[in-house]
This record gives sequence, C-alpha cells and structure tokens, in this order.
Amino acid sequence: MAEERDEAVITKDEANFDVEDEVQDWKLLNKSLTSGTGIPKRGEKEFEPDGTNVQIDSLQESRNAMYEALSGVRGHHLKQKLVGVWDVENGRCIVPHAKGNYFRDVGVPVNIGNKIRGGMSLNPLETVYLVERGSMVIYLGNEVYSDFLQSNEDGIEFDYDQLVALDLEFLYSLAFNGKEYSIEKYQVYAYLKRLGYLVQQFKPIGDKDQRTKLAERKTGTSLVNTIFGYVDHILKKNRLFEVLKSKLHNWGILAAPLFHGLHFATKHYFNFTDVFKSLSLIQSYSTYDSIKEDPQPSENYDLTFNVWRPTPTFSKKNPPLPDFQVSVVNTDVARFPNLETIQALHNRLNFQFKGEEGKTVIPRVKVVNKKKSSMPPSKKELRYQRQKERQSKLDEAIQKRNQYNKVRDNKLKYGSDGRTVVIATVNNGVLNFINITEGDFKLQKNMDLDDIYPGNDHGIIYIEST
Amino acid sequence: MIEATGGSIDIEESFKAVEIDSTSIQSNQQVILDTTEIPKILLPLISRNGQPEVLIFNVEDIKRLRDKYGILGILIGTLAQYPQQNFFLSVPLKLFIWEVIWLVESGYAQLIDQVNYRLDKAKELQSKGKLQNNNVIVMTKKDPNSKSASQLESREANFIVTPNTDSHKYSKDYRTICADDYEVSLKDYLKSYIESTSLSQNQVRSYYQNFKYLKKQGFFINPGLKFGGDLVLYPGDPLRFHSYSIVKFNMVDLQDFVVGGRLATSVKKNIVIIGDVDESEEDGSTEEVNDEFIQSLAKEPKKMSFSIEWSGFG
Repeated sequence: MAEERDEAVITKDEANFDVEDEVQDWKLLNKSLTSGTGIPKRGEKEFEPDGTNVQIDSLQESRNAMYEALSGVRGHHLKQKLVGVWDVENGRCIVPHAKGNYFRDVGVPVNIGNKIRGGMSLNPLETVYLVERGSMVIYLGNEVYSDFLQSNEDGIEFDYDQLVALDLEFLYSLAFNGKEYSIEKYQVYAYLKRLGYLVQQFKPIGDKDQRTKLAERKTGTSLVNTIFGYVDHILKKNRLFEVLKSKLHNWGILAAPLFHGLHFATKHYFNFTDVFKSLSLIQSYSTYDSIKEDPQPSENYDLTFNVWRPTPTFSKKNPPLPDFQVSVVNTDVARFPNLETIQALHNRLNFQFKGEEGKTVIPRVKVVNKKKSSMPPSKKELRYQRQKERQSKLDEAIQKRNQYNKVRDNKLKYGSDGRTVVIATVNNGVLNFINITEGDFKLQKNMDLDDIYPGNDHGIIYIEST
Repeated sequence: MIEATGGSIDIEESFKAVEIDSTSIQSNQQVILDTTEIPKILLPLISRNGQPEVLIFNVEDIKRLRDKYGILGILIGTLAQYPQQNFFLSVPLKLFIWEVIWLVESGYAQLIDQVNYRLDKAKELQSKGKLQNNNVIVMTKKDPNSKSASQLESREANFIVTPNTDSHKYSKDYRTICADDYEVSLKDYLKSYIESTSLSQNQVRSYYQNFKYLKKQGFFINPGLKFGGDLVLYPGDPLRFHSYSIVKFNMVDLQDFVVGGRLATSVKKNIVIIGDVDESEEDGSTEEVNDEFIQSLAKEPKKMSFSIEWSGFG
C-alpha cells in the first residue's frame, strides 16, 4: 500500500492540465453524444477575437450547441415513474413508493398514516439531485394530499394531477428557502454524486465518539487487552529480546556494558540515538492529545458529508466508516481555519483507532478488479517494476531500512494517524477540494513502524547501526 | 523573480487587442437602452433566508444574458442527458454578486422574490381550477428512417418530464404582477448578502467597481477561485477563447506576489492586481446598506492595475 501511494497521489499529466479548469466547448458534446464516443476532453480554442466570420460563426455554433443542450428533455419513462411530493411545512420530500437503485444512499425510510408503507423522506439536496437528473418528478403537496394520507379508505390511488407539478425553478426556490441547506452544499453534493460516490449528510457512525473511545482504551478491560495485544504482537515476531533491550536502553540501564560501574550514575552516552534524544528539548505534540482538550470549532466550519466510494455491499442502515468526510466552506464567509477548528474537525470525524474491533465495519470488497489488459505496461509501472527488482537485490538490512524510511516518510506526508478531513471550498459557484491531515514528527507508539524496528524512537531520524 | 511587465503599464494598453469586441458590446448596449420596450430580465432570487442566490432557469434569458450583455454566470445543475459527469453542466445558471449588481444597476434586469411569487401563483391556479400539468410527453428515439408525423401523433405519451421553468411565464399578465408585487430591491439583496458573508460595504463597492471597470473594457468575466484569484478574464466568450489573466483584488504581502505570479505563469496566464488610484475617495464609508450606498455603486472611480508575470531567467 505504502509503495502504491507514494507513486499515485500526485498525478502529473502532460502539463498539469485539469479539464475541469477550462470552460468546455459544447459543440463537442453534441457530436460525441450522437456518435457515442464519450465525453470530449479538450476543445480547440483561440487567443483573441480577430473579427473574422470564421471565428464568429464557430462561436455561434458553440453557443447554439450549448443552448440546445440546456433545453434538452429532463425526465424518465412512464414505466419507471418515480413520484415525490414536496412537504412545504417540513421542507422535505416524501416518496410514497421508493424504487430503483437511487435509494441505496438517499433518503430515510418513513411510514405515514396507513397509506405510506416503506416510503422515503428526502432532504432538499437529495430531492433536487434526483429531479434534476430526470429520475423523479415532484408535486407540490397540499391539504388534499395530507388528507388523503390520513384517510383510512383502502385501495384508492391518488391522482397526482390534482397537485401542481413543480418545474426545476420552483423546486429550487422551495428547497433552498431555509437556512440549513444552501446552494453551495448542493453543488458539492451533486458534484460527488455525479462522480458516482455514495453521499450522506454527516452523522456519527456507531454510538461512541473518539473521546469516549480513547478514554476506554486507557482503562479497565481494554488495558489488559492492550497488554496482551502488545505481548502477542512481540511474541509473534520473535522480537522479545530486541524489544526488551531497547526498553532497557530507553531507561538508561543497558546503555553501558552489563557490569559497568556507571549504571545509575550520571548519564553517559554510548550511542547517538541517546544524544539526539536528550537534545530534543522542545515539547512535541502527539495527534491524539487534542482529543482530551476538546477544542471547539468556529461556527463556519462543520462536517457536512459522509462520502463512500461506490461499493455493492453498502448498507444505508448500517454504513461502514466513510472513505471521506467533507466540510463545505464558503470562502466569502469563512477565513482560514485556526488550530482549534482543525483539531475540532479531526476529533469529530468518524474514526477507528488502530486495533479497535468495529462491529459496524464490513470488510470492503474491492470493486475494481485489476483487469489484465493487453496494453503494454505504462512507464510508471515499468519504473515501479525496475525499482522493485533493484530493491530485492539489496542486503536484507538495507531493504528493511528503506522500507522503514518509506513508511515513516509517508506518515509525515499524508498524516500519521489516518485522520483526514476534506475541505470543499466554494466561491461564487466554483469548487475546490483540499485535504487536511495531521503530521506528527514524534511518531510515538506507532504500530506500523514498530513492526519494522520494534521499540525504536521513531521521532529520531538517525538509525543506530547495531 | 517577479517583474511587472513593462514597468507600471496602465492596463488600458494591453486592452487594445480586444477593442473590436468591446465596441461591439457597447453599441449593443446602446441599442437596448434606446428601445425601452424590451422587458427587463427577471432574476429569480432564491434562498433569501441564507445567502441570497440568483439562479436563472430560463434558457431564453441565459441566451440574452450571454449574447447581448456578455454575462456568463456558472452552470451548476446536472445535465440530464449526461448525468454522470462534471464537465458539461446544465441549468440553473448561477450569477455571481458582481454580475447581479451590474445587471440591476444598468437597468437590464430586476430581482424577483421567487418563492413567494411561485407559491402564490400555484395557489391561484389551483383555486381557479386552471391547473394543467402537461408533464407527460411523447418521446421518440431519433430514428431517421421511420415514423412519419402522423405516426407520431398516434403514439401514446410515454415520458414524464420536469421542465426548466414555468411555461406560462411570459404572458403580459404575469409580467406586470411579477414586477410590481414581487420585486426585491438591490438594497435588500445587498443587505442580506453582506449580512451572510464577511465582506464589508466598502469591499463590496470597491470590488464591484473593479468588475464594472473590467466589464467596460469588453472582457468576459468568470469567478476566479480555480486559479486562486478573484476573477478570470477572457478576451471573448470563453466557449471560444482562452483566458489569459487572473485578477486579484488585493495582495497582502510579497509572498502573495510570488505565489500569484508563479501560479499564473504555470497555467499560461498573467496576474492582474487592480485597485483605486485615489484611496481617499473611499471616505464615504457607510455603516449600513442604504440608498446612498446603492447610489455610490454607480460611481466610476479611477482604477489602476498592474500585470505580473513570473520571470524565470533562462
């Protein structure tokens, strides 16, 4: 995993080009729609108007293509008819007969009166998304409809044509009339949904937050577990001696030969690690420290969405830990977050401590099986292969050291404890996504690093050759 | 290294290249002002309880905004024909604050309280029994070698749709009702906008005047967060032309200078900083959004700008 990550995170294509950065040429869309060649990547553009008819015509063509696409039909076949009714009072949408694949992550199940069994209640974001992509039609609820819901007569189908069918404009103005759901949140929601992610409003998963979990880890039964776990961990790797030795080293006992007279006297240094250790005068901060202090976030920052990669095993009732947790921020409203805010966001994340047994977590099924492509391996793959070969020829101790360095560097680069919050910044309709993780130079009690060099002080870059 | 290209060039000079474009736009505007018969575009104002938003759903309006006034906006909706991608989006077209002020201040458009207008209208329709949804249509595959017109008519409606906007909208009746009873003043719009953001009155005024100044030069303008700026300038319609400038309204220190210059150069653009020539003119600072403030938006104070490029020697 570590190796893959090292290569994959920063993708640099030919010239750092991101298609979404540019305004698209709509001419290409209609062409590709009719020919079925997929989404066009990049149109040909010019640098300045030159007043020629060629240019003017070509611009007009692009514009017309765009207007045509915008006037396209939004809807679905009557056979798959999906109806929602907007409840003005509660600002939500009721879907009496929820069917289709859309409800894997969308909606909360509801039963109303004896008319609606197994219906869904959707928040404004979900409602607008489904209607906008043409998968649902929506009507404006009124007294007639609520009377129908409360009535006891059986077997009557409701005629929705008694109600006003909402056009998109009407729906938007109703859905975003409240304070809680803003257009910017919707933009982020729809952006992720269009990419195929499963998105839900942020909520804590499981019944315990990080604070209680951390406290439990430190007391009672879980203490015993930790000790057993640790002993087990050591025994399995046959490293009892190494660990003991390093512990004794740490306490200054075995730093000198066994029967040396200097034991328990003034500190003497017999290796560089100890020297470095005593030189680290500045107190360092461990990432979990802030959980105990419980800093409060500023009002403009809050966790907004739980996001999962598409997975066939997703269960709305019992969701796994989210792959991403997103906070939506308007740059006109919020300033750069201060330390307390960042810590508060991290502490409120749905997060599982290392070695914690989670009942709610279903092992993730890998959706994308690596296809054996007939294509020759890419340059990157070749480079990776060659690197691997070179590595395998090295001395085992050196291999181990390289591995250790790589893991540690990644911990500093991508965060040492895996707590990441994605900040989605929005300004005047333009989106940008930023990851914030925690770096920790001290790297105390880090299991991943302990696996390679047990008992080492991972905060010290120097590796003692023994 | 940073160099202000050609020293402190006035931005006017670099605009000569697009003169053709700007004059054509201005002559357009002239025509519109003369023929007062063209009704104002109604800008639906949404989300008045939070940060107010102007979203356009009517494709005719979008056309007019783009073709006549050079107002681009940003499409934020899902394109139903192609719903799983983010490259081509559809209605609504979101206008950003400077575009809204510019349109209203220039007399091309007026703001409408959309929720209340639509709710009242729906009530009226239902009480008069005039309700007709007409949302089921005949959808045919584009198959050139079949289906004559008569065959089409005989087919049963099979597709249920949600239109962009209300189709009854353009009756005369509607226009008068709408304009009179549901108009929202620019003052109210700005008041709630400023309340919901951390922008100050003076910032709003100064930034708007920057926008207006650049708009007057004939540029097409989009918001600039993608490149870390406030605006992105295009010499013509971005459907056809590359952008070459990122605009920043203020810079804090020299580091910003370097960062901005480097970034802009790496995306083949330059960075333009713009501000007032005479800072003291800002003394009319107002505590609240009142009529005076609205009037002061129309002023055209002298602006000065610099263009910055990262110059990597060699």
